[in-house]
Amino acid sequence: MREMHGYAGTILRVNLSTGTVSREPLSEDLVSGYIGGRGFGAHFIYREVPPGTDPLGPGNKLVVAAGPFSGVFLPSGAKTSFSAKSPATGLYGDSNIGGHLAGELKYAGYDAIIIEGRAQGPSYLFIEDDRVEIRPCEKLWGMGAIKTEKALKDELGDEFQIATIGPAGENMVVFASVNHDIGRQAGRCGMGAVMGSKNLKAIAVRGTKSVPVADMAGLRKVADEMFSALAANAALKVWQDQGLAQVTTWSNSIGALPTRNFRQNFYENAEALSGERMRSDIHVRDKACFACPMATGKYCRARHRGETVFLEGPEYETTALIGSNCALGSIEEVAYANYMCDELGLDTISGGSAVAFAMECFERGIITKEDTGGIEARFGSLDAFVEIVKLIAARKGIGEPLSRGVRAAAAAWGGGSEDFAIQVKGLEWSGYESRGAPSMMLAYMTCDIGAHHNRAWSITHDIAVGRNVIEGKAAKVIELQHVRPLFDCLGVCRLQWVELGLPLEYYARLYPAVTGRQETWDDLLVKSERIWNLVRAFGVRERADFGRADDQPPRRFYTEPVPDGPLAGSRITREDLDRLLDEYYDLRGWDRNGRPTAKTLERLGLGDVAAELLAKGRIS
Amino acid sequence: MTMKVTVEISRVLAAIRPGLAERAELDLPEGATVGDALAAAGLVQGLWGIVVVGGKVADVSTKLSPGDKVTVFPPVSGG
Repeated sequence: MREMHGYAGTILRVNLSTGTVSREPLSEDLVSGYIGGRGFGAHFIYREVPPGTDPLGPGNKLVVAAGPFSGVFLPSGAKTSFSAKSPATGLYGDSNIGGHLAGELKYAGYDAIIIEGRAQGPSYLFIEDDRVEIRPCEKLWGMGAIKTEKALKDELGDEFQIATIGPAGENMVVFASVNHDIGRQAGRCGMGAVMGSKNLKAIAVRGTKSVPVADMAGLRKVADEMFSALAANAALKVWQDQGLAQVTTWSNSIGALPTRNFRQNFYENAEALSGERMRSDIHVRDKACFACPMATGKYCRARHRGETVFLEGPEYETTALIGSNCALGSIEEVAYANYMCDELGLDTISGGSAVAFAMECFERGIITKEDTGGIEARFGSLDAFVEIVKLIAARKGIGEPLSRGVRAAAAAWGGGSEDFAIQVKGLEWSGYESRGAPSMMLAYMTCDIGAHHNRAWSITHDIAVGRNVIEGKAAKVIELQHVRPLFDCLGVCRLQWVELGLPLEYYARLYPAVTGRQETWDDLLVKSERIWNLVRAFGVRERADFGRADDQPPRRFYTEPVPDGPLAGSRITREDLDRLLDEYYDLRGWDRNGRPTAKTLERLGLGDVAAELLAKGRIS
Repeated sequence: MTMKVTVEISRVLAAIRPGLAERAELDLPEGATVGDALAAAGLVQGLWGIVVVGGKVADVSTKLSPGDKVTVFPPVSGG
């Protein structure tokens, strides 16, 4: 067997029900077809999680995967993907995390871990090179995510890289996060709930091996050029100062900042939540992921009611969804709320959205103090925020319906709240209100995991070519939906490209240097398109009625004009949404119900998938 | 009197609209500001995030001098 350059060469499979651990050689088909990271996740979840599987049952699988760039000497090869059938959406889901886990996993000898079954009691997965053990951990169960990581580091040693869940994951809140590196989260799609459903509190990894690369001299040359270009970059200092928090002011200025459960997109108090205020008021020190010169991680201090806490953050998404969307008053309040979510193990995007949804329901009288157990759940109240997220993590009171996401909570509470349950496919909308940005709206509608911005972020395209223009927007969204997730396959952060402008050509040169595979960037984009279609096929196989109806935004966005701010009066029409979707489906080679045609799947090397879906009568 | 100013737009930002040049050599009136230079380069408000002139972060009201290079980065895209 030839050496797989850029890869550790082994998939680790752990069955928690039987306690068995096995190793499988990385196959050429897997590597050439799906690259790594999210691609591996999509492949295994499609192939090994049959339709109808309970996302929170032992039949679901969790794939933890690095990519060929992870842990290699190049800028920020730091990304680990977590993939599973999502309990939030019932569809394929994934979320990735920075920090230092991905490289460690490869140094231990594994490109991915497939976790199956369900442990009999609270357990954690211990990996130290070839030594792999499922260890009981009763004493960690119930402990906060940050405290758990610290406890395991104290016990095992600081060189172990640890991913853990908090109480929300244990209780299977559908937007529970996986936490790592004292403050980073794979927050989306409920990957923490999948861990909790398996009685898996944590994964601890230490590796002492190395990763083979095909052309060390070539790699060093490109990496040196990249590091030098970053060091000379005129914007680097701003990134090092403020990280992602710097976007709040801009987002507010263009009418995109989610405010009061997305009723508004302009927050009159945004200055109090700005990156500058984060830096001046609460910042303690900077922190970076593996091999990253940007150091966007910001350790901060927050005080509330006599308690002082330390956390990493808040970055933009948290500031938007917890801050303006719940109308909190200061960056320190946002930071404290951020800490609570991190410790409970809750995604700050969905968590912030769930609380904002509850606040709007409360202010409209859809739920009352009787329902909330006496909580005065009004916008602007940090105390209410804290009490509600505690209820969510514990799944008690109003926290029970909210723990299943805003779509489920709206179904439980009614009163017209479905219209302002801000989600797509069951996943809460991330930090860009898009009534004035049709391509961004389409990006959220069609994002494969639900309403997330990571696959395509195109607001600047809307600003550049016209915020009311519909034609041509779908093509840009599709282009981005192939480029951006490619980074998640390669296991490398995309901030250096998308924020500091490092040309994509560098990454195209890195790929053959690391892997020895003489493939172009365009070749890789075809693989990314294959993965996109495989994920779509998962939904089509899963549900007979899956399709266009799953790609719809909440009614608020096409029935309520923006009330104030720079885009006051604007909204997108139902007809515009249909035009966007028609154009998108046509360009993708899908039918008008949003299902890939057999021809499209076959073109992408997914002939067996096409045959399976044809046999079920799901596609034509 | 006019002065020569260079505007450099990061590649990822230039790619968002056909015809947006990565580098523009501009003749601007004396006393022109960063905002004037960005407008002359075809950038409408909201398109830029960080703007750097002479190694320092600038804003639209920053006055330019002859020979200045204005480097423009996109707004944060959230990773």
